[in-house]
Amino acid sequence: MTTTAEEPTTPSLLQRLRHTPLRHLILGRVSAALDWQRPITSSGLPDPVQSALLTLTRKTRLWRSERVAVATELTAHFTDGLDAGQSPDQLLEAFGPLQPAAKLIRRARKRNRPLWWKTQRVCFWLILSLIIFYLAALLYLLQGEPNPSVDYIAKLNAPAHAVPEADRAWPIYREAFIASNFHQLEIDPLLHEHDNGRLELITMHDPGWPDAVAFLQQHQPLLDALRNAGTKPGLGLIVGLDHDITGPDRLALFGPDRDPPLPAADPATLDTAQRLQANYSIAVLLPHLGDLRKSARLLAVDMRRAVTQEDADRWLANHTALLGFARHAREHEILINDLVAHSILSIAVRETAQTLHHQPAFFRDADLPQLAHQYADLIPNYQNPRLRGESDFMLDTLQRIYDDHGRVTYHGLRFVQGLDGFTTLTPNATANERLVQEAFLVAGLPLASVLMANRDEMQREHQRLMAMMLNDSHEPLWEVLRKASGVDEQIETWQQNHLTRIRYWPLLILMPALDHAARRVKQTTALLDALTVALALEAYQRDHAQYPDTLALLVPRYYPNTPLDHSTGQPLRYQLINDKPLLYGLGLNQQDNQGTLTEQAHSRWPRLPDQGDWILYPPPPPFDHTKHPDNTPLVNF
Amino acid sequence: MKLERELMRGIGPTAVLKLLEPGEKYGYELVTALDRQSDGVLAMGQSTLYPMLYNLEAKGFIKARLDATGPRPRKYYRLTGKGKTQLRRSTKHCESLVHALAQLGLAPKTAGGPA
Repeated sequence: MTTTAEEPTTPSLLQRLRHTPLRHLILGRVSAALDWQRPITSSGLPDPVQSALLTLTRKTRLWRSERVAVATELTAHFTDGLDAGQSPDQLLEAFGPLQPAAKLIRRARKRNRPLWWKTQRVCFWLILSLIIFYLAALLYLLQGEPNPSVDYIAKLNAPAHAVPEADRAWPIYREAFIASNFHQLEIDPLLHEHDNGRLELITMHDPGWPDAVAFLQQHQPLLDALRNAGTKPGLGLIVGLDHDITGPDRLALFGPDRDPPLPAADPATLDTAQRLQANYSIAVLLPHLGDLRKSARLLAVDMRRAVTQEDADRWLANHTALLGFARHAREHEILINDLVAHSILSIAVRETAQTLHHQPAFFRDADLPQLAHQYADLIPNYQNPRLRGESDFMLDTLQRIYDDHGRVTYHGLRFVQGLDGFTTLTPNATANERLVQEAFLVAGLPLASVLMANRDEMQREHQRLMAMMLNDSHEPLWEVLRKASGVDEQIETWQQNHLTRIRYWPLLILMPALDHAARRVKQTTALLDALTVALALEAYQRDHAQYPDTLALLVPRYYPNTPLDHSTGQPLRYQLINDKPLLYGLGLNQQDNQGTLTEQAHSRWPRLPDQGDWILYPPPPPFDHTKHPDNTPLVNF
Repeated sequence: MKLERELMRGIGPTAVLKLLEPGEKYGYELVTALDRQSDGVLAMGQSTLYPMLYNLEAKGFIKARLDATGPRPRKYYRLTGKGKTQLRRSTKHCESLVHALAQLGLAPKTAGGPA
């Protein structure tokens, strides 16, 4: 055996500590078991061989424990070779080049590593690949931009544009609103606060009635103008965003104190976020709806005044105007407009029903069929909710979320966040908060593009829900009440699952209230129906000096067919209480409580109550807590 | 004469398994045995042997044992059950190859064909 020129030095304690595995240290052993150079330097091999082995082992870049094993084995190999009579040079030549050897040894030794290391390695490459893929997807998706191309506000305004100039009510309203400073006109004298704090339109029996009469007299020109406007077939108001409403329209709708509109920005100067906000149909302002409702309350009190003055013509003119206000509110085909129209219609129905119930003699014989026809004519138009506007809102939203290829976009996500109120990207957010939120939004884009439905699927689901809703809307109310709403069930199902909640996020923001609102619209039909029956009963009473025993006696001369209870589909319930008719449906519990009205039903009138009968005629009087201290049902009012 | 690298890569592991069939051997012993028993035809660069041994170990064909009782620590390799099965399979492949080569006139004809 060949020996080296110099003996190996003994390593210091510090060096031995550095090469001792932790588990040995814990056991109190300073083993230096990881000192991979030691087997080579202490082997007594010639320097060139030692140097080659040190280089080779170092170049393997293996774990220290693996290097120890390799160094030990190769040291034995070369020692065996020297013992067999070979020279160091012969051995090194037979061994071959060091660099490829180190590479091959490294590769082979790694195959012997434990399963946990291999798993960890696979996970590492998998995660790295995913990150690279994710970043690539992010870059790809960041290229997309929504490109809204359909002007849904123009579609919304199309019916208003179609109204001939001479048939437009808006110029009359506008002039009257400006002249009376309508926006700031308080109608407090026309309201009476009941003991329970509820504000209702004042009656001739309330103490403030003289003040109300004075108020009406003071605003006679306004009332005349409103009556005139109400006779016009169409409204003819072009609605738009804040900067679209200018000049006299702005003065009429917002009053003189409204800040002047900021000029519409040049589309060429807008960034993407601003471009998406611009001309968004859901942001259209509809201040005229409040004005129409206020106008309806003014004329309703004037109808009460006309009763005290026995002025049936003015009463009828006001009534016609109220129906006109409802028609004008519906000019833009949006559900909120329909709800306001139904609210105005309810005012007209209540006034007619109250007068008919308390002072039937006020109406002349010819007035009864005229009113009956007016209401009967309304039913076909008002019985079904109109959903086209809502559908357009959704389509307008989708064209601001996706690009032309149907991909979710960064700006689209920001847009939806704004709709959802999900974001806190408010003016109060600090720069750092904004930066963090933006970072989250950008980082989440690829994930959102996978989790959120693409544009085609979103549109398909939207159309499916709309078709279901439309189908429901053409069924009578009792059929709709009998079965669970398919749309509600679908929305609920989506809401309960985290994945579908993200998948159909925009639909869940914009769709839920629609079905419920659509059902409310249908309830007005029942009210209109009952009022025409009440008018028929009054006509019968005048011909026969008594009310009929059953509603069947009205058919066909006074009413075309057997009146139906819209909550059940059964015949409408009819009783004579104190020689006056009471018309009601059984309501949701489908039990006949003999026309009992609960306080809850009273406060919700004329909406379908959750409990008790659905009183349709006459309207209930103000609820008197002193007479019903225990919340006992109000019977036989 | 030495085999081409690709051919050696295919036949080398089988040769090592065959050498281990009688009993365990250490690295240098394998190198010399391979050289001696194949008349130098299967002699490989010694740096190639150790990666080959580690690969066979990773596949479970051989198992290593460190013997520290001798004058120097030595690593001995022995055939595993899995390695024996692999050796039988490789042997059949070799026999088929030799038979095919013989059929083509590239090797002397043997008495029987492959098993």
